[in-house]
Amino acid sequence: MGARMPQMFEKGERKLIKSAKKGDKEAFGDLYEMHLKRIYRFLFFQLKDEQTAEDLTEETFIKAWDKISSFRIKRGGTFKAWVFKIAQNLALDYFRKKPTIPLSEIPEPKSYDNLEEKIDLDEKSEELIKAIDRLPTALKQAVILRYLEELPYVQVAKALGKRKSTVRVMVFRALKILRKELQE
Amino acid sequence: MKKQDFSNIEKKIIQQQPVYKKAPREQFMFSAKNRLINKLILIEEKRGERSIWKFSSKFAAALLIYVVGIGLGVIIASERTIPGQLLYPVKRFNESLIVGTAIGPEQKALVKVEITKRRVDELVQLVDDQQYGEVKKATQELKKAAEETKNQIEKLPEDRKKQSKETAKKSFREGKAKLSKAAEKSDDLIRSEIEAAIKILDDEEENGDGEVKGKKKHDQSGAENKKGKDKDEDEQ
Repeated sequence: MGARMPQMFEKGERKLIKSAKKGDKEAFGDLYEMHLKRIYRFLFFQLKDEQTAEDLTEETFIKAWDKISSFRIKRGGTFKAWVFKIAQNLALDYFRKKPTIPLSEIPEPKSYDNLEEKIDLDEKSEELIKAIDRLPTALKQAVILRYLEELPYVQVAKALGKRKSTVRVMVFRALKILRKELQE
Repeated sequence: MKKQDFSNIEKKIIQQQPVYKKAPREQFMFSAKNRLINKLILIEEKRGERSIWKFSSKFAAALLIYVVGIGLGVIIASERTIPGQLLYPVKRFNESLIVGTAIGPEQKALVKVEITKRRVDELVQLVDDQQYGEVKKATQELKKAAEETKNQIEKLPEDRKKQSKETAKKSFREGKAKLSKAAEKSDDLIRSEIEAAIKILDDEEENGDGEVKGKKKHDQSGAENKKGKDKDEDEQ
């Protein structure tokens, strides 16, 4: 878990970040292509709507471009965590503005029918996904980043703007809730 | 306390990755990079001049306030300095500016009187603070200021001179009183310097009147001599 980025890839990203910081939109566009899919799926999993997820994905990177001068290049692929943080904040803003939908009315992730690979969503998987979906937003995001995006704790912490120890506790709580729900 | 084992549930979550990793729609992916870059360019163009103007005017205002604030702060801080202190040259420079910007010889004379007063106050302060190294130089500066005051007053037309002279005399008298008090507290060496300073003010005070009197005397004696000469010539 927490696969390390190949060194060459990391160096390539660093170079792009440096160029983007100098105002190179082309370089920033390459960074967008590198991280677009993971930001999209992170947002889609929470929002359950393709159009909204696409819009917020773009908005995430527009904000990232605005703030790129304040981003500090460090080792360990933190650009990913930084962009996740922006996306996470946008998702939170979206949920705050959106009126609360009762649990029974949460739509099915209908786009799962259009998967290129035919994956049978068995009952238990469906149950688990719904259970993850029902988690409080912060815990849900911690679970997504830790297990579905496979980020190490330190990057999850950066993405959520929390301390590493706090994230561990959040994940622990989430797992406890999920285990209980699935047992029931 | 038994450590809880979540490995099962963790595995199950990880197994949802294929479901989770839903790709964006093709139409979204198509030219996504170019679309984003175009949006960035559009946004920047819209913000463009307005933000530069806002930035530059805000920046300019902030810089001006900062510079003026620093400048004023330094000027204010320098007002109470005495010879030997860091900001003392700023005080002297300010004085030269004030003299330079004074309108008319009368105003200049008043400014010079004020400057002489300052030299007196500085000398008194130096003695109080026991900054004896600066006393001699301060005495010389006082002499210079007093002379300049006198010279400035002399440039005035006769009808304006009297008023300025009175002001200068009053200021010199006050200065002498301050210096006399300072002398009482000092040792012999410093006292002699202070007494020299008092003498300067005395001389300038007298010279203000003395020169005129002296001139009259001279004129009178000159006139008398001439009479005497004429008489002698006549007698001869």
